[in-house]
Amino acid sequence: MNAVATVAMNEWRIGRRNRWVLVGGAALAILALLLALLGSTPGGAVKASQTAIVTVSLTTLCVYLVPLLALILAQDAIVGESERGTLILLLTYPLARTSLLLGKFSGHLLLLAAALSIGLAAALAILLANAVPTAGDWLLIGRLWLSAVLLGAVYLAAGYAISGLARDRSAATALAFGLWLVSVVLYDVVLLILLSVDLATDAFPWLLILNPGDAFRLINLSGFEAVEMASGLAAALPDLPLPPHALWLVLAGWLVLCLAIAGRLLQRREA
Amino acid sequence: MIDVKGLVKRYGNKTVLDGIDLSVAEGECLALLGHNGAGKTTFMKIVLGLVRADSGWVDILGGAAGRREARTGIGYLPENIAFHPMLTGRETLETCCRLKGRAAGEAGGLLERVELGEAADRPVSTYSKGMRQRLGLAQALIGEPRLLVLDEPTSGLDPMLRRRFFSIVEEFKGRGVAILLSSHQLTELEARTDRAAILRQGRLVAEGALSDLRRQAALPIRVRLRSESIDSIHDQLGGRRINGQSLELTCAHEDRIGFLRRLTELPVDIDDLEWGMPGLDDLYAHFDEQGGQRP
Repeated sequence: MNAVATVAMNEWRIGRRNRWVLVGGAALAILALLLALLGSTPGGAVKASQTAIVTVSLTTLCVYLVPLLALILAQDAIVGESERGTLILLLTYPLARTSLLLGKFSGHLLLLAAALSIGLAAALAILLANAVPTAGDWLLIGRLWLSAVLLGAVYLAAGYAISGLARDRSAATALAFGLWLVSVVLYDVVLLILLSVDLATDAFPWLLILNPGDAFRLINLSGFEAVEMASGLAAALPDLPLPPHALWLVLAGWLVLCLAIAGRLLQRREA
Repeated sequence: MIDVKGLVKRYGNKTVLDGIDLSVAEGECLALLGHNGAGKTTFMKIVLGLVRADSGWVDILGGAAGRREARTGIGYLPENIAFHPMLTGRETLETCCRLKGRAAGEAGGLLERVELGEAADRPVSTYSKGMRQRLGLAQALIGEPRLLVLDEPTSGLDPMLRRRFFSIVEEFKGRGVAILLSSHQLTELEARTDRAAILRQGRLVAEGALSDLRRQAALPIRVRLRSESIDSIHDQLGGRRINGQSLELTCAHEDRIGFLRRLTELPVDIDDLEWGMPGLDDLYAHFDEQGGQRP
């Protein structure tokens, strides 16, 4: 077994044993269940499928929850090992620091994907109880899961960068929470304020797609007429400067950039 | 195995290591002594390739420190060893084996060797300090290391475990493994180390075999005598009376044979004689003080 797989297996084992998957999955599942139950009794005159309505709700849930779960998992990865005194030993092994980072990333991504699967499976169970999903419905759910995993991967990598930068664990926690607050909550609020006072109107579509959370939202709320109708997206959004498929590349770009920064910081860190 | 010349390391304006020359040969044990902050751990980190020296020549196992071959050939036991509390001893050691490119199956034998076989499947969080230290030693022994770097290896171990620990280290030394260790337990190192290097504020104030250091330090030998005729001996040789029957004398290292001759020529019976050579702690105190007086 190579070094990346060994580190990944260790992280998976630790995550399972400290009930991270269970707690993360349960948090997602409870909220997803609530949304699915609410979405299964649509009112009003919206002509959208039940799956489309639930997908919109789950997308919003994931935009907030997935980055938070990923940051909680990753912010301790380097600085935590350093403070516990386990990093110094690891770095004396014949193991490249990049392998250590990629191993942690793989293990954590597996944990996050497992938690997401539990959460989405709960919502799916409600949908299946009410109707037989069409091929289009499966595609919506599959796209949501895959893009949520990619969004989680971006925030895991950002969490490692924070963990490689922070001097101690409390600083890493504060930085991680700050990043979540700014990129997930405040960023959209500021964009809306700018838009409402007619500032940065031309740059708005670009500013929107450059935020990983918004890119994820746009991936899941576009392309399907039913979802666009359910989310009101078709009417509310200006033309995007990139086709919806390119939004996946935005997320992949953030992932590569954050992993590169984290790798650089880990290389420079003294044990 | 370790060959270091003119090693300098600075952190900002502070010089942590200042022109250190040291070497450790195959099958040799070098004890690194010094107060906290003397530069011992930094020296070890440079040997391990965790910290880069600012200047100087560093050759570890025939090449640069920190390269893959060097890391494969070194077993390291850090001070205050820590492992993830959620994993069992066996899982921890199996991971260490895989990371060193060895089969996970080696873990079982190593756990038995450090007497952790019965506790192997318990989480590390339930281990005592001594058990964690033994697990630390087990991971340092993975894959037939050529160099062992042991930072305060016996802290937290009871006397029996210390003895067991050193018997394992001795066994590896016998196989040609070079050992670099630091410890504050000077008395226990005395019989187990070939050479000592004393660091003070980043400078090497003394280095050599214990017999050489004794010669250099020229500390007096303490002799304690017990005799029915202690008054007569006191009149002839002087010294300090301990009680009605005992006397403590000192003699210079180079005069020890002459001193013995004078004792045997005394016209009285000596009931008991204790010969106290300056210990490693005496030598350490001497060189440390001498180093402090240098400009």
